[in-house]
Amino acid sequence: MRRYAILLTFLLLVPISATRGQADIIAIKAGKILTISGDPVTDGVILVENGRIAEIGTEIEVPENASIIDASQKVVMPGLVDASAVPPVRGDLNEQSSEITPALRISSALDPQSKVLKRIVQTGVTTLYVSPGWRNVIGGLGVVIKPTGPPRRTQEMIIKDDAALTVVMGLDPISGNRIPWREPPTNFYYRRPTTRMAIIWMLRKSLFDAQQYATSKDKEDPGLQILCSALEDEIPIRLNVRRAINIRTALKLAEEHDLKLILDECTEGYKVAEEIAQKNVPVVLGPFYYYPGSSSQYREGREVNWNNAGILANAGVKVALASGAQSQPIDLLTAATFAVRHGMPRDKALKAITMTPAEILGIADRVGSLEKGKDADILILSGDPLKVTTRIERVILNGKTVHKTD
Amino acid sequence: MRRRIFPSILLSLSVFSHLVVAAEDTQSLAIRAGRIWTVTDGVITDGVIIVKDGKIHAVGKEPDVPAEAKILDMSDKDVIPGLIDAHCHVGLSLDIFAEIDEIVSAVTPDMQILDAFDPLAEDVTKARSSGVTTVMLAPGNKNPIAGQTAIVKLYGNKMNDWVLKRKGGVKLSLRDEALMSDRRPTSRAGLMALLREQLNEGKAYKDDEYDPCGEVLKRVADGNVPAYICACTVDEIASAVTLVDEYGLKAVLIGAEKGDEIADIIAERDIPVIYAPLLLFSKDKDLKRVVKLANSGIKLAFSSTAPKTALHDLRTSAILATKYGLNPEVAIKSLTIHAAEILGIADRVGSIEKGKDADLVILNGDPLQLTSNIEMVIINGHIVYKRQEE
Repeated sequence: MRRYAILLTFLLLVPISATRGQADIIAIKAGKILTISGDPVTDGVILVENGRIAEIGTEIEVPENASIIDASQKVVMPGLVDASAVPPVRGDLNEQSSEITPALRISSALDPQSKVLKRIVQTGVTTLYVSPGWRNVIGGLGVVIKPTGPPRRTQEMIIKDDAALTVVMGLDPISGNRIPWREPPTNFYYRRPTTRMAIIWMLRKSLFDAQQYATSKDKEDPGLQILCSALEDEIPIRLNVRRAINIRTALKLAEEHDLKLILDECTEGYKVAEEIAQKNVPVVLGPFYYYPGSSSQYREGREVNWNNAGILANAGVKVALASGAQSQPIDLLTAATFAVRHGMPRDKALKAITMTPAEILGIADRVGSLEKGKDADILILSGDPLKVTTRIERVILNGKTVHKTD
Repeated sequence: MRRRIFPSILLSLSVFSHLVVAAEDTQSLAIRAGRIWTVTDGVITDGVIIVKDGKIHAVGKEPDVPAEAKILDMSDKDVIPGLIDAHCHVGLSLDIFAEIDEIVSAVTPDMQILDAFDPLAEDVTKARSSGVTTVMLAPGNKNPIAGQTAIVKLYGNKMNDWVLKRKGGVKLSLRDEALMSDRRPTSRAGLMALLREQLNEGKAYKDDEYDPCGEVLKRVADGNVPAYICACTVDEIASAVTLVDEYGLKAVLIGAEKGDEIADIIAERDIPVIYAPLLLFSKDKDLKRVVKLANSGIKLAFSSTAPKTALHDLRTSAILATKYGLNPEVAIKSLTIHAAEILGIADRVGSIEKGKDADLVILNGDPLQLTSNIEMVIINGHIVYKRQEE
């Protein structure tokens, strides 16, 4: 009798453990796998276990308990990495009360319920960099997040906090500032900078202050502490530049202080492509177009050159394509498609929305390509990714399907 | 005899409530009640509460009634402890457009809300008539560090009798209201940077150079006094939780309307919640949220935020919550003992127990029914309200 009881419990237990295993292992049978890091694989299989890629290749035994996603007529590629995305943050992205706010962390203002996140997932982006706004000369610290969920939780989304320090050399910081001329200053907007030279001056002054602080350190200051970390290359500097003249200044400043730079936007980068390549500074391009009548702060760099990406890439610059932190961004696949049309090599364009931004953000060990051991961030596409008619059919994030089209 | 006395008391209540009732000061009461909701020890049917010197002397089926005690026959009525409004702004002259935010500066931990409290204000009388006997007064939401809250009884002879805690804790606001276009902070991230900066300063504060703000911030940063953090949406609550994790604040969430979305995160850290008022015209899906919050093991209190909403909304909140599935026992506890525990005054108020303050509310039916009316309110053994028959 007892034996039967034991047998019965076994019989009951077996199906339970089987269903559990099913949830853990996913096998994606793909027609074509664009691994990005290596050559494309035809008729391959990706095994996903515990949110990571366990196995990838052509001759892989699929475990019996694995749930199978049939993509044998589809193209599979890694989830896209957006190095400059629309921030899922409510309200103002800038702390307008001061021009120098290095201690401002955009990670502490993330809104997990933001509708932006849903849209970002739909465009195939599984990792994104969120930056403070460009209104301040030194804006603050950005964060790398994954739009995990739902339900989405701030604490679970963050994969790299303090990822980079946002610094702006473009003309954005002067917008809103006023000169106290014939009138007494009434609020904090009566301040420097109101010219391009003052922007550079403030930047130099801040770096000087940080150097002073590094030697004396008489009173603890979190802002200067962060600038010190940037000077010691612990935190990279994301420098927003548009005009060629600014890019030259940026490169000079980087040389003076031995800074670890990443150039943002870089609208006129094509004019100084060789110099950027020589200094080995990576570039995050985008946004790619401005809507007519968009905010007046974009007085510079309105003319967008689609062949910018191609020229920079061919000169040997490490180029990432990003949607750009504006309200109606272009999606990354379209950006790559147009970049190829205007002269960017195909393989570099695909890398520019996956591997390269992952390297620039310093998370290439986790995302950016389909390799064994990396996070299972996978896109299943109806066809070639660089075709306008191709659509994203399924987005898998950390091994879980987060978006699916019928 | 009693009939003639009470209208006269009532009349005087409306004008000089605290002065006239004081005449009855030394009287003991014996309240014979149909049902006594002790809150901590179940419901006693046909029991008696003996009130002596403003405290509850005895509760039970048949306690010894002192000879001199005045007997109140409430044998068809329900008696509950005085309700606690864990977050409101009564008596702060808001009805005549006074402000409760010192918005010139964003950081005002040295402001004490009690200094703005007028015990003779009309809404205090109204609060008593809706069964509220203890309130936490708080500054508004427009300053990230708004000031010190106070916990007061709504009755007393002298100011000292009113005040349970002059410095109840410090109110922080993570709401959008705390952002202004011409004052620091202007952004959500800037708000958090400012709070971190202030808490760091508080941690580093030394007594040798007296600074009223620094002293208060130190006690908050060290977790010695509660931080009442106003946060309603998911991102605001997530920010609040971040601060709790970083500094080990003794935090209490105020509002937390969308708290159910991250209820497990709040419950994990044992952060109690003073929930925003539930209103009759709120949407179903919003009214359901509080139930999920309570079911995930979070200690809950209700608030009316009066005079922004009506004072009777405190009891209505609990009633509406039970309509959507909140356990009635939890609902009544949230109005009384849980609120007292969250505010740190459970040794004085929050239940009908021997030794606690005689704050009692007498209703003509189940307290969790909208149809029940409040018949009488007793604070510190004094009858401060009696319903007038129409």
